[in-house]
Amino acid sequence: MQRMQPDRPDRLLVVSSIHSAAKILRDQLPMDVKPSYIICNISSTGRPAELVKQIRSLDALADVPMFGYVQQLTPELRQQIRSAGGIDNLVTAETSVDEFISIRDQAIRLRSLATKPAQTTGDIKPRRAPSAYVNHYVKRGIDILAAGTGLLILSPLLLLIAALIKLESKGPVFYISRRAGQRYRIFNFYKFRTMVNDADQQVKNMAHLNQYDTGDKGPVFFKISNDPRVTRLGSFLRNSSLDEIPQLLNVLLGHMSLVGNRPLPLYEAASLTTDSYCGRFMAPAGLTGLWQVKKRGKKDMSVEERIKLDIEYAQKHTVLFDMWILASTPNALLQKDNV
Amino acid sequence: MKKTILVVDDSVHIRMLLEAMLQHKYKVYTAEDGLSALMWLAAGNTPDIIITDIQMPRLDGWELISNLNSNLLFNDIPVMVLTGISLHDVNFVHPNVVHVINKPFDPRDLIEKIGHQLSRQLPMAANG
Repeated sequence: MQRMQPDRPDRLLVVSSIHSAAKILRDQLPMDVKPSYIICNISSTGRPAELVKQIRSLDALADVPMFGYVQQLTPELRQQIRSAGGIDNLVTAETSVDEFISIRDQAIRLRSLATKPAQTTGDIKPRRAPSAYVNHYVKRGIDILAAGTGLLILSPLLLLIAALIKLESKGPVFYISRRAGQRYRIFNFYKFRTMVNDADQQVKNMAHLNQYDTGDKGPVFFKISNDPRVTRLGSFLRNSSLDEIPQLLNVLLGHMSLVGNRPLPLYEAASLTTDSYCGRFMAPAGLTGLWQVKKRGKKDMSVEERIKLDIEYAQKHTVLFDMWILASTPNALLQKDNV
Repeated sequence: MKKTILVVDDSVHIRMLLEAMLQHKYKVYTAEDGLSALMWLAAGNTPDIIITDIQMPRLDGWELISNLNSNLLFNDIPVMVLTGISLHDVNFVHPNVVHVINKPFDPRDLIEKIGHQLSRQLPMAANG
């Protein structure tokens, strides 16, 4: 490396061995003498891990940048050095003075920044409070019990509805779509078919009728009042919410919970993966939820309002809150608008 | 051995979402800003790919990418930018940025891009 010509003379201390360097640093620290940075000739030692360990074993040097000097950098040596850790950057025989000053200043700045506490909220992996685990297992227990019992009791009604769907129009009994649930887990979502068989193919031709019109910007939700694709039996099943019963199977399988945020079709879900909206995916997917009991059937409800309710539920859902939503759901089932 | 991904984003929900989506196939680490990411790297960790946001406190995505590029230890790690800001007018001169994806994003598309990128390279621990 070229000899540096700094504006002010730096005091350089050149030491021939790792052990001497560590000893000198240890002796000087009580007198508050600390190097601005350290350069280690890794090529000569061949043992970067041991060298770094010696230097970094001194807590007082945590904010001191450390550079490794290598004559020639091979992929193997690079991997060896970075696995050892503790080295901020490398310099080689080709590194110019200006380049070194730049990386030196960069490393000093980063090390000093790192010693200040972060201004962000939350840990990298927030620890869940014990109450969150209790809530989770109690909620799951209630889900299994209720969904299992519900499917048993309602099985005659399920068979009757299945027969009527078959009699009324061509196509399968169930409408199975891919939905994104909690933490974007994608699963098969079951409903009784309430529309004509090629309803999904007709969506593109009906975009202008979308109740949630956001132009080309923002989240995408698709819903149409008095949707022409809905069959007569389908209309009755939707108004009575009987088309939702097969979702008890989703609950039993653990894809969903009785209470949560609606699992969304993938094109809708993909429009909500932003910093401000994706909090709604932190809650379990549910048969019914805060949105249904507070807003369902209102034509003037905006996408923003709906997502706000989803996020609100994700932030404060507890078993008791779920009970309140379940108790409020029957009223919401009698919809005011045919959507 | 599972390949390793470092996700850098100040939104805890984005971090949790990406971790949940990727952890079945990869070992996922997360950092809340560029500085935490660099300190994690300096502590002796090497991911096979870094996915970073741009707007972050303390040290933003631009600085993180610039630091990685000017560092002989880490300038071979591919970086994917995942950001809410529009980067149509930005001319990326960073050789290690392999993809720029805007939020909102389709997670399936992101997973596909990651898979494609990682299938083309040896594990970092092996290739240095």
